[in-house]
Formats: sequence, structure tokens, C-alpha cells
Amino acid sequence: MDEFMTSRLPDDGAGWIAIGLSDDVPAGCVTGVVLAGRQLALWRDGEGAPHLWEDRCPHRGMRMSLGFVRGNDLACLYHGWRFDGAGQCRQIPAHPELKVSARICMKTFDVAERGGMLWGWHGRDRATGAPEVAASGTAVRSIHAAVPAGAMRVMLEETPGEFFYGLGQLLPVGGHPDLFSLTMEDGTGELVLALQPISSAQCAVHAVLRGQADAALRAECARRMGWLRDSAERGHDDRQGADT
Amino acid sequence: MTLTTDPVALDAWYAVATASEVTHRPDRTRLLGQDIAIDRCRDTGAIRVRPVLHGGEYGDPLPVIERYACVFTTFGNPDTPIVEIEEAGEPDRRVVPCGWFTIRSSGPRIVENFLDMAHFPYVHTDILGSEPNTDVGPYRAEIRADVDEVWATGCHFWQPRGAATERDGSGMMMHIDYRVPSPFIVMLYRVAPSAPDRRDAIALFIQPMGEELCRAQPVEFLVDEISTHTELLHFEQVIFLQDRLILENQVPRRLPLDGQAEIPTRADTASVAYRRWLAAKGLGYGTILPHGQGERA
Repeated sequence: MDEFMTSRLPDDGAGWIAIGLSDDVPAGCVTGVVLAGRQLALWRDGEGAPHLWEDRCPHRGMRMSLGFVRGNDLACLYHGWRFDGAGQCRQIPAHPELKVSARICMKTFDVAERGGMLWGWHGRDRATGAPEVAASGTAVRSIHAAVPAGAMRVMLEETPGEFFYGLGQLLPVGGHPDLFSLTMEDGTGELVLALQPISSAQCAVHAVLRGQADAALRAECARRMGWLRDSAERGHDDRQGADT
Repeated sequence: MTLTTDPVALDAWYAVATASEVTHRPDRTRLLGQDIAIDRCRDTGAIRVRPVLHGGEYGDPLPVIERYACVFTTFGNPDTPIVEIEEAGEPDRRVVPCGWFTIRSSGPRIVENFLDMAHFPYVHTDILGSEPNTDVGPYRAEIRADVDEVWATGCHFWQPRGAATERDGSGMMMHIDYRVPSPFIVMLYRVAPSAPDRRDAIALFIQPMGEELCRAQPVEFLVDEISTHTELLHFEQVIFLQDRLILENQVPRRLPLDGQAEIPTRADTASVAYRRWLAAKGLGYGTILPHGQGERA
């Protein structure tokens, strides 16, 4: 695992990490995400419950993020092996009559949905508590930037006015290095940003609105997120250029 | 990239070009990590394969054999000749090289994919298979020590459109035998749909450029008076591009030979035999050898 991943969270590195916006993974869909340097498959079953698994079928190593959802199961694209929500393989189509061994199962990770975002638990033990954000949230936008999370964190801490002027003041949320909050100057709402480290060269920032979240405000906040990404990448390129 | 030191990989024949496409202008490619150039000598017209050394000059020519519409070469001293495909000598056979595919995966993963019937309904939907006909019935897989090949015989699978000739998609039970004559060559024999008393042969020649990057060309030896050349190419192109989507998304790209690394079922009997055969040979190129076996270059 990359070093930057292990050092960033308090208490032996365990904690919730935002992995996407709730709206971006509809029921019956699967996608690939990175949690603390690990490739995972994030999917929602037919009833909308989220699941977070190792992105690898135990049969022949196929990425489950390219699989397909049937009912409340995720099936592998290669041979159609079906796994239930708990990660247990329930059906091997090549042998429809076979009772599948209990040892054929997925490695699963704890996932939570809160504040309009999906969260994955990073830690040796199972998850404790819920992500420390308010329960509600309206999706604004996720950005992916070609800079490490550390560089993005510094920008959000030191120069938030460059991106969010006229809206309000962006402040770190106490005790959580990857959460930021901006209360609108007119007091009608709050913009919440969650930073997701992806690799030593990439990160994502997920943004949601609480309270007032009309289309005009969402569009304005989404535009600012685009500025944040562009500026982070430009600044990072400039710094890299100056180093060489 | 430099040439591998894996002796099993070195001592094998590899198809590296389609013979009819070789010209006087050297064509650069790569085999087992070594850059090579393939051209036709202006004086003799003979095909040459030469390593490209640092600085761009050519090394001594490698052995060349033109066969099955392809140019074969080797860096080592193979103790077996290039696979013998008897059907290729029959006068009414159509020999159809279907073109090269570049695949970001290991050769052994590509071989294993070719040996696999269980993926037909999911990867080649409504062509080589379709739900609910997903059953893989019992078949026999064996390592034939006398010829040092892997065979899977008595394979059968219900196919909606198993060959280019099967246009209406009404489907048939296809009977197939699989053969692995060399770690990077895999074949199948099937009843020719348009001549049921004879068998088509299809070979997949894999050119491992690196451990996790290959070119591969299917060459068909068909009894088929119906399909046009273009139809045959289109058919194989669709199939192999579908397989490429799978092959480039398997983790890890190299084939694990440890029996515990991935979980097989009865349908994978051929794959299990192939993995055992490779492990017994000690092939480390494009594979992950069981712990404690072999040393990686």
C-alpha cells in the first residue's frame, strides 16, 4: 500500500473514506472505486442497498466491477457466477445443479451511505460508527484531479477563497482531515466537501449541498469544483515544473 | 526490455508474422522481451528474423520456418518441431489467417481463455453460447506424456451460431476437442458444420511480446465452401475482441499456477491440466509459479 495512505488518518489509520456520490451509483449498477490503494467493486443491488467488494472474482480473477447485477446478486461477466449481497457464491451456471461450496465467497468491505455520499471503511477491523457527516445531502459533483490528496488538502486549507469567494468561508471539519464545510453567507445552506485519496498521483473530491440546494446554487457550486480541479492540476504542474 | 532468461519460454517456436505480409522493409516487433525485425532479403527473397540490438543494428539471424501462413522463429533450441496440424495438408482446406490481435495480458491467460467453454454464454452471447444453455457437460482432459501435449476431448456445448456458416442462429450442439501442443499455442477441432463428416481445425498462435503483453493470430483450417473470406475474418474478429475485454481485466495478468490461487470447477478441467503441465515444465514466463518453485528472472 502507498505510504501516503497509511499515515493520513488518526487511530491506526482506520476510518471512513468517501468513495462517491450516492446518485452516481443507481440501483442495479456496478462501478470500480479505489479505497486506500485497493481496487474495489462498488455496486447496488436491485433494492438499492450498496455493497463494496474486492474487485476480483475468486474463480479466474475477472474484475467484478465489469460484472452485472441480477436481482440482489452481482454476477461475474466472465462465467456468470452469481454472488449474493453477503458475498457468497450462489450459482455457477456451468453446473446449474451444483450446490456451491461455502468457501467460494467474496472479500467484502464495510460500506455506508450518509450525507448524499457513499463511504468505505478503511481499517483492519470492521467499521465502528457512522461517517461523521449530517444525514442529508444533495449531490453537486465529484471531481477527479491528477494531484495527490495531500496537495489538494493544502489548497483547500490555505487558499479556499480562490474557488469559493462570494459563497462563504470553507473550513476544515474538526477531527477529520478529509472533510471541509462551507456555510453559505446568507445562512441558507452548507456545502460539504469530502476528499478521497486515490493514488500517490490522484485524488477525488465529492461535493454535496445541505439545506438550500436549488438548481442555480448546485450549478454554481459545480462550476467552482471545476475551478478547484483545474487550479489544483495547474498549480501542481507548475510546482513539478519548478522542481525539474 | 531485454530477452527473458526463462529456458522453457526460450526453447519454443513462436509465430511472429503473417508470411504474406513480410516485405523488404523490416517490420519491428518484439518476442519474449527482445525487439526483432522481420523482412524479406532483397537478394534471395528469403524471410529473415533478426534481433534488434542496442544502437539499432541487427544481430545474427534467428531460425525461420514458414508454416501455416505464418513465420515461426525461436531464440532457443526447441526439442520438439512446430506443431503438426495434419488438416493443413489437405488439398481442399482453406487456410485463413484471421489477423493479429494485441492483448494486454499474458500468453497463458489467453490459452486458458481459448480452452474455456463456460464463458461462451456470457462473453460471446448469442454466438458461441446463450442462456439458459450454460451447462458444461463432463469431458476428459489429460496431459499426454508421449507427445507432451494437453488434450481435452469429448467437449460439447450448445452454440447458437458456432461458426460463420451458421447464419440463422437456430443453434446446434457443437462437439469440440482442444489441444495445447506448446505453452503458447492452442487449438481446437470441431465438426465442420457444412461438412459433418469432417473436422475444422482452428489454431491460435500467441506471440508473447512481454510477460503481460501479447499478439495473437487465429489461423483457421476449414472445410467451408460457403463463407467469404471477409465473413470468416469478421466472425473471428468479433469473438477475439470480446475475449480481449475479459483478458485485459483479469487480475493478475499472469496465470497463477498455484492450485490454491484461484478456484476451479469441473468445467475447468482443461484449465487445471494446462496449469499442471506448465508448472511441471517450470514455465515462469507469463505465469506465477507456485511458491518455492523456479526463480524469476
